[in-house]
Amino acid sequence: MRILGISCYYHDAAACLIKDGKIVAATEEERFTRVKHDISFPINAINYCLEEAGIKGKDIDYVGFYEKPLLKFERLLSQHLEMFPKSFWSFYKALPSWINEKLRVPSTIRKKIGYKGDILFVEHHMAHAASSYLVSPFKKAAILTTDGIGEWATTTLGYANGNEITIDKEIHFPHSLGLLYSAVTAHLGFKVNDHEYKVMGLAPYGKPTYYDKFKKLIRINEDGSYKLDMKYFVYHYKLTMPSKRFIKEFGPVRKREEKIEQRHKDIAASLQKITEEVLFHLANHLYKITKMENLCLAGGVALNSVANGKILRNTPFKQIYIQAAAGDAGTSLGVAFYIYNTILGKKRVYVMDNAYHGTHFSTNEIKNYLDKNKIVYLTFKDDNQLVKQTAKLIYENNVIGWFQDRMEWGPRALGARSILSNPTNPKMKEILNLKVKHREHFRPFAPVVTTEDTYDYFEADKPLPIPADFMLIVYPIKKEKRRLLPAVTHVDGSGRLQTIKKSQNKRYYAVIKEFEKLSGVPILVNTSFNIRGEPIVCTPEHAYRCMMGTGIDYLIMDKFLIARKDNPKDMWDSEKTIND
Amino acid sequence: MNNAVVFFKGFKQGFRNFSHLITDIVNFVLLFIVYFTGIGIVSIISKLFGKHFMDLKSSGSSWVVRKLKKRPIEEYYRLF
Repeated sequence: MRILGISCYYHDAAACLIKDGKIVAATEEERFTRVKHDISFPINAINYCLEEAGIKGKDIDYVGFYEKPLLKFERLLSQHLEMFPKSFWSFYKALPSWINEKLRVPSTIRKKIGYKGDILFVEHHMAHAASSYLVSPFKKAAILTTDGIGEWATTTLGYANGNEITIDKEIHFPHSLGLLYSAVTAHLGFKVNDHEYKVMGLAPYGKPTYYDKFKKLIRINEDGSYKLDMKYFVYHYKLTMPSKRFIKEFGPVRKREEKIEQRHKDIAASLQKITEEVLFHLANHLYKITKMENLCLAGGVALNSVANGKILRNTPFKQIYIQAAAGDAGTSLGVAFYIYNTILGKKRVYVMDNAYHGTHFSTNEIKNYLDKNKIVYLTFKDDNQLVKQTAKLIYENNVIGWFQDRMEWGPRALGARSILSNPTNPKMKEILNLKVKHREHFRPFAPVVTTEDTYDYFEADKPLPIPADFMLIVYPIKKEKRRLLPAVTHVDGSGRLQTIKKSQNKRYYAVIKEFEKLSGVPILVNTSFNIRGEPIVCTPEHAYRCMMGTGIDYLIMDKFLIARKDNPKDMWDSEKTIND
Repeated sequence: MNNAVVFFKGFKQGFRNFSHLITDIVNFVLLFIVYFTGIGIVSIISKLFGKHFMDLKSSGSSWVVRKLKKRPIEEYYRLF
């Protein structure tokens, strides 16, 4: 039985195809269109999924959509009815896309993919809940979902047993932890629904001196719920987010080109503190009502890896699971599994313990690309040579583009489309920023570590949660090891680690172990393989273009080694065309 | 000949821009009417009767109890 899940029209359009309860393919539309967080109908992602399965649209048994559009439209109309006449511009901007696209989902699906069967619509937060629980190893679990907004719900508490998921209660728009985080993101001059993770990275540079002011914005109730004081926000009727009262309290909005001051860092730190407090409060209340030891998290706020790393220490839960694409892209996966396991009652046969569900290219396809474009390259004679040479290049402080096997599902690069470099070099952060990433100075680079060595370097939860494999958890690096890892140690001594087992990615694991033989440290810098402002690379062409447009020294693509310096005819400067 | 091609390309682009302008104006007028009559009238009458469509000001718990479980498959065919 083949089920296709689709999410689109808000941010991070994606598609996921499952067959008999297992993932065949899952991928985001942005990787194909090269538009970050692309919201459009994910026809390219769907076509890839169908191609991977060797089928056409008419061969699908069910299609699932990740929300109930009319319920969402009802909420939208409610906003305008409540806020009339202040909300006209917001109404004017929103309505055309509803009329043209969002209310026509069934006909769009049938027309674009040639599908004639049943289309099932699942509520947004149920799709989130399913996206985590139904691919977790748990037979039963408490489920907490938090995001900006679904139809009406912004936060839900639920539980699951076997195949059955129950959403017990929810908090409704406009009271939203996700939108609070986004409003502050906007206030700090960053892009909403894109740069929230930058605010999270900025927080350790500040002190929570604005915490008391945040307590005025959000009231945390005894019963576990929270409520925003909407006098501080305007997103429920305007196209901007913080109100004049918010600006009076927290200072003027930072323009993008303005320098980041201590005030901004302190606001970020205070926001992170209050977000964690609300999350722990919700989770503790959830434990009280469910008494379940396992916790599944989902929704955009579940991408807050700093908070995730503290959940087990601040709640009675013993185990935690977060799926690799915890945000809206993941709801395409959630709706597919919800249809299969819950609605149709089929047995759960799958646990997601790796995120490699995207596009892949054969050795011949890559070779043909290289030959056709007259690219100078070398071929490794075997895996052993590849691993040794890659580790040596990294040890010699080269920046390596690593393009192997199936692309990752979710926002993080996890060793399939990664840039790898030496974490022991104190200058590596500067080198990476200068050569490739051109990031803000406050943003850390992340480490990848072999699973069995994690506890030697990190103060991690025991047992190690699966979300660490998806780079969704931040842990403190052990004090005595921080001087060994200057390139990946954040200012507060933490690291957003990826843990990797040999069974998950043999070649990647082997490179890390080989690097350990040279340096004594089984850790690499792992950052996403992309030009600044673009999505992670998807095809060999994207990878080569990225290397040649930045300062990446070498590209290891399957068993081929391409050196930037050997191909001067293709060099270009990506910084001249950046749209970030 | 070249001049003619350039002229027609420019004309086509100009016409396209004009049609987008007309679309924007028509959209604006239509949505203005819908907003101020449709939304406006319902909103004013509702507020006269004390009806609110969003919980902005109340104190107390924010929880909305759902007990949302699996439903018969036919309910999932609906967009609401």
